[in-house]
Amino acid sequence: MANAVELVDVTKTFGTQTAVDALTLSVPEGSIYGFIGPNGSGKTTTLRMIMRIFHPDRGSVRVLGQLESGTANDAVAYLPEERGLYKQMSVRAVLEYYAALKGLGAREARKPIADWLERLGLAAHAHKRVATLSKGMSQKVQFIATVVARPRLVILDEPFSGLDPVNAVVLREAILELRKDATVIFSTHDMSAAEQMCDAIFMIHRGKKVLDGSIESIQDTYGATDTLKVRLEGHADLEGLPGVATVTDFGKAQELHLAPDGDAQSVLAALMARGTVRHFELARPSLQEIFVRIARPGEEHA
Amino acid sequence: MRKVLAVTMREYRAAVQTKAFVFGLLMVPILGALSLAMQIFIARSAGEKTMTYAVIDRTHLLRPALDAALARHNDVEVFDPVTHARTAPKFVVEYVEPAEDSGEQRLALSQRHVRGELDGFLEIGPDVLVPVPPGVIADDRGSMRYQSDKDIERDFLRWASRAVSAAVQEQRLAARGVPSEVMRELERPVPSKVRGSTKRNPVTGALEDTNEESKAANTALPLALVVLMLIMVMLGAIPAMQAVVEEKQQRIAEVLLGSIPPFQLMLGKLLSVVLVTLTISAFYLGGGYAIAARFGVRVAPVILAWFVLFLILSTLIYGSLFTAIGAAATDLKETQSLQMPATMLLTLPTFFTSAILREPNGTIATFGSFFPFSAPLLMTARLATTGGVPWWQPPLAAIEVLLVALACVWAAGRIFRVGLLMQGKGVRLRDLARWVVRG
Repeated sequence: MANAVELVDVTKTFGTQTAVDALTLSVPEGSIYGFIGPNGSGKTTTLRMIMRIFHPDRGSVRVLGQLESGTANDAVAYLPEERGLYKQMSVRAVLEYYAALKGLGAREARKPIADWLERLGLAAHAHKRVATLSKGMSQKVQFIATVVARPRLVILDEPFSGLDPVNAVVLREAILELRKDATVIFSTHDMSAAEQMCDAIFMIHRGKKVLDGSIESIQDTYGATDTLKVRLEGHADLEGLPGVATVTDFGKAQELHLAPDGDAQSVLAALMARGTVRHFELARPSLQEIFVRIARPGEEHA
Repeated sequence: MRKVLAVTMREYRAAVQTKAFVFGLLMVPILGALSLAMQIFIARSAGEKTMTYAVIDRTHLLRPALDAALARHNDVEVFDPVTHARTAPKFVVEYVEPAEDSGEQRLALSQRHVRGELDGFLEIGPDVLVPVPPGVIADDRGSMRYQSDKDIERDFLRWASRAVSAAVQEQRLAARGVPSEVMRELERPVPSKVRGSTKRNPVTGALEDTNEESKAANTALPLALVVLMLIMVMLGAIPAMQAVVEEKQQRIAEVLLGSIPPFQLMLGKLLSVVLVTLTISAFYLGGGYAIAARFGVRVAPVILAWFVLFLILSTLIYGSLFTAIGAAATDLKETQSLQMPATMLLTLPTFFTSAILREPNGTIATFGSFFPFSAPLLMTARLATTGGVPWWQPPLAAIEVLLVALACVWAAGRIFRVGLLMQGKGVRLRDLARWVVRG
């Protein structure tokens, strides 16, 4: 299968800061690709280079088979992290305008706009001004503006930010449906969304690629079953357990990462000594756990 | 092209639907009406006033003639001959016996003036009947002396100069045996008429020249056209600049540039600015034409045509400059320092207007109307003067301005492309120049 996006040895610096460092990445057509990474790691810079808003200092960026093209590309759509909507326009007017800029005439755009508004529960707000919408609603409007002209490559920067769980599910389903005729790249801090939705995950840290591949292959790389998911009654102190390298505390539940010489049974015994164990599971590390392992401040992992 | 038009239509709607636009559109007629009302009010209140002056006539001969002149002033001259409304203050004159010590008398009258009892006083020297030989400066005895701290109120002084001179002339002539009726007949001035240069009407073949009323209107017309065009260009260009800044701040620019090349985006915006100024001109020119016609002033359609053409060219120049400035600035505050040079260029023509009125085809006027950044306003102003302009000058200026406008659009396009995606960095004019050169 051809690649929708191909970055080869791409470097981008701002002043003395290297935002993206010798990055090579291929996003196959029809896939859903998740970009993860801590704030300021180079995600948005990478997305903007794919959008051709930034030009790389070195390396090549091929988008939908084209090496050199202008920013304006009707086949590529972009949802910026911050809202990019005219506040004084009505929802319908702003959607019609963005559709027109993607080459969709007013008549052609009418039906898809109405369908999308209906689908994302915004039909009643079509005549309202954008300024009056909540953050979640304007995020959904922005999403419709991005996809209404049926682009072949959809780039979404933090599409779930500001959405409540119900709307996040609605949007998630909408994104999954896009893959029928488009490639989707999205960046997110929502690890479970990335885990559940993406065919492949790409993680960037300090401008360098640290993860790239399917969730299974990433989990394989990061220790087969070296993770213990536990839940204790009340609050127990999990510091200093024998054979445990790191503890990721989710509040009610914890993820323990076994040290190479660690043993699950002795950890369980130690836990039972400290409190009542409600849940104990031997598992592969979650994406969240892997993310934290890589990006934890002061720790360098391969 | 469809995308450019989509941009134009959105920008145009956004521009004309703002309160600022409606306010700006109404501001000019409202301010005009207000200042007119103010002037009428001031004239009215001046008309209702009565002012008191003391007169010391050391000749003891002029009072009858002055009384007659005063009656004429208070009963006839203060009224507008057409509307019969009072337009000037009436005078009350208090004759004061001359005292020996003129200094003390002046002090006493001055004190009454300071207390507000008098608006001023006039002292007619005892020797004013003796003509002063040419080249000799008259002393106090041979002249009249007016004292007042009200420097702006010169109505009485003007009246008194005329009245006293006439009274003295009458006395001098009477002394030589000329009766006053004869004198008045001899004095009657020659009526004068002022016209512009005579031209042959190309249609009727008749000889025509402009009469005095339309000459007066023609002094106002160039000024009005300059101010109108200036306001229209500003009402069009400045909101466009602010819109670009908003797009940058809201990250709308990124979405837009993902759909339309920067130059087309700017072109769409520029077309909208032209549409906005044409909308304003439809309002103002229509209204202005109706008002002018009501006062019997016919503005030649050819002047209006040139006005519209130069308005479009001027809008292209300043619309592109201001749009580029909006793209280069990171927030509205930053636009203020960046737009200074452009605003100065835009308002430059106002310094030339008096030169144009005085000498429409003089060196300064001609230079100003060919300097590309002031040419649209000044060539239109010159066209509106009575004298007219050599036929080849307006088209030549138009071609020159068109070329400069295209250059501005091109340069602005390059600034626009670089600036629109530049975030969070203060930009100086030098940077803009660099962007133009390097792209």
